[in-house]
Amino acid sequence: MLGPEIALLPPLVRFFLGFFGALIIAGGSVLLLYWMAQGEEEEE
Amino acid sequence: MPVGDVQVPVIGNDLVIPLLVLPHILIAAFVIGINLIGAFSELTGTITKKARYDRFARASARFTLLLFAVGSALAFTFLLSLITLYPILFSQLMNIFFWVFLAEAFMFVGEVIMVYAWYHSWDRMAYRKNLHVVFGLVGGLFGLTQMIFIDVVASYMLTPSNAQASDVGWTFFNPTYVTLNLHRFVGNFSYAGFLIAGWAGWRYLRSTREDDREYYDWMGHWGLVWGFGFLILQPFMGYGYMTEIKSASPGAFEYLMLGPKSWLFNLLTLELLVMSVASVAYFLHKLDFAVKPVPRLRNATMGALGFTALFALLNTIPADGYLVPQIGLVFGEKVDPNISLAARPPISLGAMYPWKYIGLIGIALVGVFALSLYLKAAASGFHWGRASRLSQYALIAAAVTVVFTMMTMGYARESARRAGNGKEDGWLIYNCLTLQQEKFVSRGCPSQSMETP
Repeated sequence: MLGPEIALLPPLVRFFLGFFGALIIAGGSVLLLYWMAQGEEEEE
Repeated sequence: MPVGDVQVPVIGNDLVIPLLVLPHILIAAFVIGINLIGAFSELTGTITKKARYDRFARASARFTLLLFAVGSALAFTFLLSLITLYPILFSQLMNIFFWVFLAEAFMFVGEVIMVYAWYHSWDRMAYRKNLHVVFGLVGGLFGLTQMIFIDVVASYMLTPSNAQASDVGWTFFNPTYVTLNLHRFVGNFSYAGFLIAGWAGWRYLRSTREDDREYYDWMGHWGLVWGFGFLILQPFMGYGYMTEIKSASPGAFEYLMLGPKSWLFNLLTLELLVMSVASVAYFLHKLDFAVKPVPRLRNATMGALGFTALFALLNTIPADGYLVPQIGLVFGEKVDPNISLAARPPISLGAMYPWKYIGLIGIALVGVFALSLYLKAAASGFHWGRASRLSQYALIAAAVTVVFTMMTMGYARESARRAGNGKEDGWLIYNCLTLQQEKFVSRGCPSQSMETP
């Protein structure tokens, strides 16, 4: 480490944060896009 | 001012990259897959003159465009983080792979131009379908080529060639380059196929109109044929990939297969069990709705379902009870990481030879058999729109599982570089650039050894 020690969550907590965080970012953006584009689909 | 002196509080530097890359790859792999499946669907539609293929292809093009922006925005934020948090790695990679990165970036440009042209000329080129299909196929090929370029970097980080970095050919064709490409090529189709099937299952359950029910029922079948069809190739592709990792970076191989992260492959076998059993069970259910009754095919598929479950269960048996040491889920003794292929581990049915070979080859062969029977029945047609709710739940379960599989395998490939450099450290480039200290080591380093600036 180059800098001073900083506060970090425990490794297991960070693991699950990464797991669920990745799912939320990916799933959330897809669902948001789907929701925004829904009206357009009905017009076709 | 020191280089790379940024400390991310609470989550730490290590988590920033996966938190951006995992969503990126979940979206980007889907974009590549659905683009190609959509283009082939349009091509099938022009040959068979069935409107549903075209409807699906058009929705695929639209979805590709919608997701493309998010996928590339995540890639950009990931690159920004990589430059800031791992500047020495990035500089080293850029020194070696500048032309690869540049070519890859232009593939993105080509892909987005072609996919926009494909989607927006749908009505205008309705009478020039043969030319229009080319737009989608070329867009998909650009996406695929982009993956082939970035795989140069991805494979090099795990198995760098034992050659000078300036030897462009050797850095390209490092030990796992070809197998990683094959593995991901097949995976893109399978992943996108299962997601299409799961999405169709969800929409089918919510559809009230008869034509929508027919369409989404067919779409579930279409997605699953791609998903399962390519999944059964994966045991061979994955085996080839792991064999290359074993010979080029044995430490990484042991870490994954018998070391602290062997639970990832135990988890993978469970995911394979869910996807394969759900798929063959869906096939079996669908045969009840064949236009021409197929009792013999149905009985054979029933047998195939039993064998699929048997082989898949055989694959799930671990070599020892030392399951997940990170959370203390351990029973009995740990298998010796240097165990020979022929030796017996604590749980003898968990041995690679012969049981896992039987399981993996068996599940692939039975899969080919079940899919062939299903496609034979599909050739004479199904009554669409009458599928049970349970069959749609099977599609959704397979789709959810394929997302977990992508995450499991992505995490496996990247965390493999934790091996062989002390407990708290790891490699950014295997045997070359360390993870924590960002120091180059001379031994095994493919480029000229040098000190951290």
